[in-house]
Amino acid sequence: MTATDEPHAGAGPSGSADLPCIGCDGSEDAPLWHDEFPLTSSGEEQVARRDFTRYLLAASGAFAAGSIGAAAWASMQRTNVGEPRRIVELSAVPEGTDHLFRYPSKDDPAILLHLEGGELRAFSQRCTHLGCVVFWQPEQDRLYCPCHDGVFNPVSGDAVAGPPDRPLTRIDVDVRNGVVWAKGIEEA
Amino acid sequence: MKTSIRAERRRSGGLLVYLILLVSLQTFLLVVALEGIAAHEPDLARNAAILSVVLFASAAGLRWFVRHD
Repeated sequence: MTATDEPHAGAGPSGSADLPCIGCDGSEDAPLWHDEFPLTSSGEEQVARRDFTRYLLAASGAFAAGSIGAAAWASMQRTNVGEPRRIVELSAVPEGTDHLFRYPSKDDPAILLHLEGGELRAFSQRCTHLGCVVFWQPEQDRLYCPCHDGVFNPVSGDAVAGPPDRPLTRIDVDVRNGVVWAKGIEEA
Repeated sequence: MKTSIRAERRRSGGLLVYLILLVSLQTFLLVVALEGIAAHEPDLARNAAILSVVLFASAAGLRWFVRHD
């Protein structure tokens, strides 16, 4: 820092005799802003770096706290396994077709598949990659997510191609008196 | 005297770069933890949080060390 022994007349309304002054050494070319910001450039840089490291450390702490909060939230999550519920008449879903429904809550899209051979399968429609809705392509024997070309096996729900690496959430179904019932989410 | 100032500036510059890299990594770890929520994988979120806290502690320790050197 550059400082002088004499107060500078232009350093402020009161003379600001305590502040270091640039341009008080007799040089007439000193810019006017030096009067109001009487710090040398190297001094400014040192202060800025220290402040910046403090801000970065605060940001680091905030990110760590956010991660802890996310971990706590994740550990408190409970999967809604659903209650047994009537879905649809079996006669309304012939072999080779599907039926869309909501399970376990009205915000959870699901799909019931009536496979060739009479087997029934039900899955959550949420892709396990980023949550897009999957749909059935019986002619290609696959459940397909159009967002990122994810492909699932319609029998097991396993991910077979694309970005998803986890199977679709499977819903246990049963037929009682000609009616398809959802019995609950199958635990992984 | 000049050498000492230069050394101090080099050291603080190095610390600055390290902290920027560290905060960038912590941004990624926060995203991983949030992904753990979305994917119902608490273990993933917990491990990301632990690593993030370790990085924060090491950064705080390093800054303390440099300031008191």
